[in-house]
Amino acid sequence: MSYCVHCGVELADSEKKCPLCGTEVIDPRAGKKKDVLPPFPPHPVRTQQQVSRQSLVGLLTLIFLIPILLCVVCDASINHRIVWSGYVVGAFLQLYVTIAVPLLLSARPSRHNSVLSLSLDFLSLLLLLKYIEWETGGTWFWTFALPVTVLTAAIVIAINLIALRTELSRLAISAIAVICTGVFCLALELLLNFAFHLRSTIAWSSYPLITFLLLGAVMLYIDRNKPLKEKLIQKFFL
Amino acid sequence: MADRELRWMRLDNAAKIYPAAKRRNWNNLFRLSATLRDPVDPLVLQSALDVTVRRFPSIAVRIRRGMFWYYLEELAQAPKIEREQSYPLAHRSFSELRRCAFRVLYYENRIAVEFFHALTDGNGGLVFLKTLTAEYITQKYGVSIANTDGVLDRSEEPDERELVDSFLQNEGPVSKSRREETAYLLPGTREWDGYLNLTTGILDVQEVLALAKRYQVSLTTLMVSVMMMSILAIQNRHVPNRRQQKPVKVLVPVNLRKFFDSSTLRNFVLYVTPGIDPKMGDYTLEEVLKSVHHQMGVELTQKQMSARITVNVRSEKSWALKIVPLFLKNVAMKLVYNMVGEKKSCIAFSNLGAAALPVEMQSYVDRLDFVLGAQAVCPNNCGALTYGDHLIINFTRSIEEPELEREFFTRLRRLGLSVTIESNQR
Ligand SMILES: [Zn+2]
Repeated sequence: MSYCVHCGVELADSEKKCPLCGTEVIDPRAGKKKDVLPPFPPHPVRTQQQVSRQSLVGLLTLIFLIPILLCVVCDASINHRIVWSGYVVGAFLQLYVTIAVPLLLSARPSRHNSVLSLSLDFLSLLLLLKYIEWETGGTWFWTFALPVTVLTAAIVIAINLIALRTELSRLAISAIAVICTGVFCLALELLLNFAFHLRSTIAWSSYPLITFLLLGAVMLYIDRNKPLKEKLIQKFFL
Repeated sequence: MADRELRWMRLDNAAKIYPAAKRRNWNNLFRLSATLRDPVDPLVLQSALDVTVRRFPSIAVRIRRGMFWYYLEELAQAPKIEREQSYPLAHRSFSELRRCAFRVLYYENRIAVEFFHALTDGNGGLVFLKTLTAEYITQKYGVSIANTDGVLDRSEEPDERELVDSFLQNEGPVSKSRREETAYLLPGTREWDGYLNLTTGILDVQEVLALAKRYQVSLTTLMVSVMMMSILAIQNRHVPNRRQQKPVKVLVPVNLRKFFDSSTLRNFVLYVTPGIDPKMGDYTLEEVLKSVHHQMGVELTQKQMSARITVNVRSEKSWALKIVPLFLKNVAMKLVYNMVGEKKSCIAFSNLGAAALPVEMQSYVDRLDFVLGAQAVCPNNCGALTYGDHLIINFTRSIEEPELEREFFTRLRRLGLSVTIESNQR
C-alpha cells in the first residue's frame, strides 16, 4: 500500500511509479517490496526502427544503376560505341557522390564530415571535367578548369571550416563569403584572360569586386556594431 | 460433427456504422473481463468457450460482406483462446474480424473478452462474459450456478428474442434529429506503436454514492460532471483565450433496455451528450452538476429516445440508401463518420452500472472490468461498472500524457473519495 505524494491517490502494489504523474514510489519503511504481478504482461522492448544508412545507400545505388545502364546500353546499341552516354554516366556519378557520401558519413558523426564530403565532391567534379575535355579533345583542363575548380573548392571549404571552427556570427560568415565572391570574380577574369588569351587588363570583374567588397564591409561593420544590429533586426525581422 | 445450418443476421441499426468507420489501424472494440480468485486454466476455459458460443449465435460470429450490406454469420466452432498481450484491445484488422469478430483472452487470474462493437453493446457483452465465466467455474470447480443475473442456460437453444434488432421494433411516430456543436478535442502525443494505455481507478462505491446523494444526483451525473470539470481545466491550460474555447461534452451511452421491453443481446444503446460552454464563464462543480443533471433529465425519457431511434431507423429504411452497393455506402458512411462521428464529444463515459452475479459465483469472481477502446480521433475513452463494493473506472488513451486521468482522479481525491490507481504503464 503506497500513496503518491503528489496526487494523493493510493497506488496498486504493481505500480513502481505513479501512473498519473510519474513520481516514483518511495516508501522508506516498506523495505524490499516483493514483486507483484502487473495487470498486463510486460511490453516487449521494441525501439523505433531506424532505417540503416547502408540500406538507404544500397537502395540509392540500385536506383542510380537504372538510368546509367539504360543510357550505356542504348548508346552502345545505336552507335556501337560510347558516344554521349559517358556524359550522362559522369553526371549521375557526380550526383551519386554528392548524395551518397554524406549519407554514409553520417553513420559516424564527426564535425569534419562536411569538409570531407565537399572535398570528394570537388574531386569527382574534376574527374568529370577531365573526362569531358578528353572526350571533346579540348585543351582547357589544366589551364582553366583545374584552377577554377580548386579555387572554388578552397573558398567553399575554407568558409565551411570557419563556420565550424570559429564563433563568428552568421552575418560575419556571410560577409566573408561575399568578399570571397568578389575576389573570385577577379580571379575568374584573370584565369579567363590567361587561359584563352583574351586581353591583358582587367575589364568587367572590377564591378563585382568593388560591389562585393563594399557589401561585405558593410556587413562586417553591422556585425561589429551591436546596437545597430539590434536596431536593424528590430526593424527588418521576418 | 454433422454440418449444421449457420445462422446469419443483418447488422443492427446501431452496428451499421462500425464496419464502415474502420481505419487501417483502428476498429471500434470494447472489452469486458472477470478477475477470478485463482489462476485461469486455459484448457478448461477453452472447453467452457466451446460450450458457451452455441448459446450466443449473434456474438460468436464473423463479419461478412454482402452486395449491399455487411452481415454477421455464426461461427461453425469457437475460436481458440489466446494469452493476453501487454495492452488491452490491441488492433484487429478487418480481415481478422471477417474470420472471428470477438476473442477470448486469459492472463493469470483474468478472463477477458474483446468484442467488435458491431456485434453487441456492453450490456450484451456482459451477459456473454458472465455466462462464459459461469460455465468455466462450473467446469473447473463443479459448482452448480443458477441461471440468474444475466447468466444464461448453456443447454438451452438460443432465444429468438435475444437476436432481434430492437431498434426496428421500437420505431416511434415522430423523428427528432439534433444538430450538435463540435466539442473540444483533447490534446496529446500519439503513441507511435499503437500502445493503448489503461489507467484503472478503483473507488469505494458506498463513498461515491454517499457523495452523489449529498449533491442529489446520480453516480453517472457525478462522474460526468467531474470529467467535465477536468476537461475544462485542461482546455484552460491549452487554450487560454476563452473566446477560442470549444464546448466540453461527454458522450454518455444509454441502455435502451431500461426504456423499452427488450431482451436483445445485440446493440441497443443510444447516447446523450450533456455539455457546457466555457465561453459563458467559469463553472463551479455545483453548477456543472446541476446543468448535467437537468440535461440528462430532459433527454432520458422513453419518448425522446423513441424519436431518436426513429431517425436512425428511417434513414436505414430509405430505398435510395438500400440499393447503393456496399463499397459506395462505405465511402459515404466513412465521410459522415469523419465529419460528425467523434467531433460531438470530448470523451465517452460509459457506465454499465451495477453488475450482479449469481450468489454461487460471487466468491469465485474478485473483480469485473469494462474497457472501451480508444476512438479513432478522440484520444481518451472511459468505461465504468460497479461490482461488489467497488466502482471500477477504466480510462484508456492512445496518447502518452495521462493529463485527463490525473485531473480526474485528483479531483475525486479532493472531493474526499479514496482512489486506488492501477495501470499498464510501460
Ligand atoms: Zn502521482
